[in-house]
Amino acid sequence: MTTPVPPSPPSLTTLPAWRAVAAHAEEIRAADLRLLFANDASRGERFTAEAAGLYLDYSKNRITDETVRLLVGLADACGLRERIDAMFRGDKINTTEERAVLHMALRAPRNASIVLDGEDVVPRVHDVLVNARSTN
Amino acid sequence: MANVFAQTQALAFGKTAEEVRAEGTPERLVPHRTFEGNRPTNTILADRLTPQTLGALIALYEHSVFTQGTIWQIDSFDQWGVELGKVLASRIVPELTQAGEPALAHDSSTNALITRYRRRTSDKS
Repeated sequence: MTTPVPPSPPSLTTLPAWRAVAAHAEEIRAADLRLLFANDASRGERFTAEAAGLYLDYSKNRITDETVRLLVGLADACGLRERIDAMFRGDKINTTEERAVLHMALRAPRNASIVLDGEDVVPRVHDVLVNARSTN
Repeated sequence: MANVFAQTQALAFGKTAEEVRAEGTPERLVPHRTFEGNRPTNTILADRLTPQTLGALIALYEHSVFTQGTIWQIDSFDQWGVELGKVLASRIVPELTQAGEPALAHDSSTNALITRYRRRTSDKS
């Protein structure tokens, strides 16, 4: 039995969210980082993110709050959240090999359990890690 | 760290010709010392470089590619080339680890790399 091929999503460039980003890109193209910083004292604290022990400062990009809003809107329109959930559920999102992807399984500690088609895949990951260590 | 921070400043804000002239720079050197700026950067900080931090950086790029693939409708997981690499690697493993000289039948580049690796690792032990 083969996995049904998922229906093709609408072409990216026809999405209203894409058109909004494309139009905004034309406006922001001429933006100048000197002016963006001069006109907004909190920029360096606002365009930052922190997670998993990493701190990201993306304030020195030619972006505004509107850019971030439109990009997040595009990600939403493209179903990013659903794709992340599918990856974590172990859906076969690698469609040409018909395999689950489960990248987080590669980082799971030995005592974790991630079950795919009735099998806990974590022990197999750790077998490969041990093998990699012994043949380096 | 000062250089890390300074490079992001140099790229973002550059130095205008007026600023360069104001420092009394000879006119012929002004173009050489003028920088447009307005070049974007991202800066990532971590408290310590540990295996965990390095892994988090790799995971970050993994998530980035996943996100780009989702938005641009490019299948990030269609990578039979990686699968081919794994198959080829499984043939090379015994040639690196076996005790006696292996009879190598790859291309001359791969043969030479394996031979050099074997020689270097046996010198060390």
